[in-house]
Amino acid sequence: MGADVSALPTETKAESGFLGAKAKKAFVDPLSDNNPVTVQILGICSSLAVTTQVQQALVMGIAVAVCTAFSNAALAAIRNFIPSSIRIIVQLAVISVLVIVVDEVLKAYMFELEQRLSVFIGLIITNCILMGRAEAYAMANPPWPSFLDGLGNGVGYGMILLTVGSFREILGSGTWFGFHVVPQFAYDAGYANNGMMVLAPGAFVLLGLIIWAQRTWTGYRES
Amino acid sequence: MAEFGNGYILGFATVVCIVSSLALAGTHSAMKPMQDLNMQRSFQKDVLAAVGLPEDDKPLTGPDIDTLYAERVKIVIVDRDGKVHEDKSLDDAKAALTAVKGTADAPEYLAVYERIDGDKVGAIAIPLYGRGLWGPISGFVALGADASTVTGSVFFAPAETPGLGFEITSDWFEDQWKGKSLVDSAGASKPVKVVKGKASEMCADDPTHCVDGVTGATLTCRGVTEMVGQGVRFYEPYLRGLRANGG
Repeated sequence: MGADVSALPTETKAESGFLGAKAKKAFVDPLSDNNPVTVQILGICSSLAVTTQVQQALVMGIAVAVCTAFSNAALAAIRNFIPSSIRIIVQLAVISVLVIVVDEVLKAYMFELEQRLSVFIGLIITNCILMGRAEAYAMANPPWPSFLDGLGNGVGYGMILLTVGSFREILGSGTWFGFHVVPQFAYDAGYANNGMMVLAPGAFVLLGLIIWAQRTWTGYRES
Repeated sequence: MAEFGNGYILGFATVVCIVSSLALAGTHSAMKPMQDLNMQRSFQKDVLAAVGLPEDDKPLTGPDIDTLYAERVKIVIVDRDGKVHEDKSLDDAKAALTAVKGTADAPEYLAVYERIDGDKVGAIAIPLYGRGLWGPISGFVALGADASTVTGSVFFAPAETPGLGFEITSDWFEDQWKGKSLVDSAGASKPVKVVKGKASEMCADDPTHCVDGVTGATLTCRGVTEMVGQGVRFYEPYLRGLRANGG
């Protein structure tokens, strides 16, 4: 006997509090070190599809962040009541409801943008980030850290979308959020917008470069 | 996560279903009025765009669309012989359209959208309905006061492939209709057709009745040609009347 009690894995107040170390880690980790797009390589389909314009990328990022945050929180709240044999379909039901609600709200208040994002809002349901975080995190953690984990993953995804979207819109259309950023004299001098940037291959190349840069910076290696 | 009995699992699944349905039904009814208004404004904006409004090309938002549409657009109902029916409404035209669905017959009543410039009609837009490759396509062709010269067009292709058939909704495709003509040099009715490839090469001898096709979307383009041809045929009596009156 006489073991050192402090060595036991009990959570202290500082770790488990509302803004404690665990909560902070849940939110900050997916922003860079464990980014869903660049490290986990999830959500690639929509990162290619909705990043021709920054505005679309921004709304898509917010929509995904809202959905992951609230689906994680809701699932974490009922995690002890979900029978394990039907947990996947329950996760899917909760995620679907949230995505449809977001779509309905966008249709009512951001109609034209919703029309342009079209099918990709609905496809958030099948975005691996949502199911992945529900299964990997929300099923084993309380609602608050799960909410932060979902929010962090959504924001991490949104950041990559915004980066790709900014490059694509500036290089491909000469605008940013619809404002002209490439001056007219550049066009007069022979500068031309890069057509590849508005097509999917441009997004692929950009995403590859971003993953390279981000992994070099964080020192991440595939194990 | 614990193991539960079958009764519990079924009960849990039922509760999840009921709660989900209620949440969705509630959201939908709460958002419906706003969504309907958006749909209506989107349609009005397309009609306005077809007849060349607003003149300064500024993007319109919300209530501005309602105001401009109410002030400058008048819906006229004509029959297939070209006679104007003041007592009929857009609903009659819609019902007539449904009645001839699937046939090549002209509907009994047809809608015309007029742009009012002060006390005269500046342009008219005729609605078009047709078939693309995967589903229905539709649109408007707007004519100037002479009822012959095309001043604008708008197309919708909700089911066509993005990048291929869906290209008929893009600006380059719609803009090239401006300045085309629906009559030939003798004054007889002649629709504009979408050619395969470049209009400048494919029908250099008759440039006012051809527009460029979309590469890789031959069937959708054929659908547009048929749709425009049919529209011109349906509205022919009415348009002829306008031309005879000097617009």
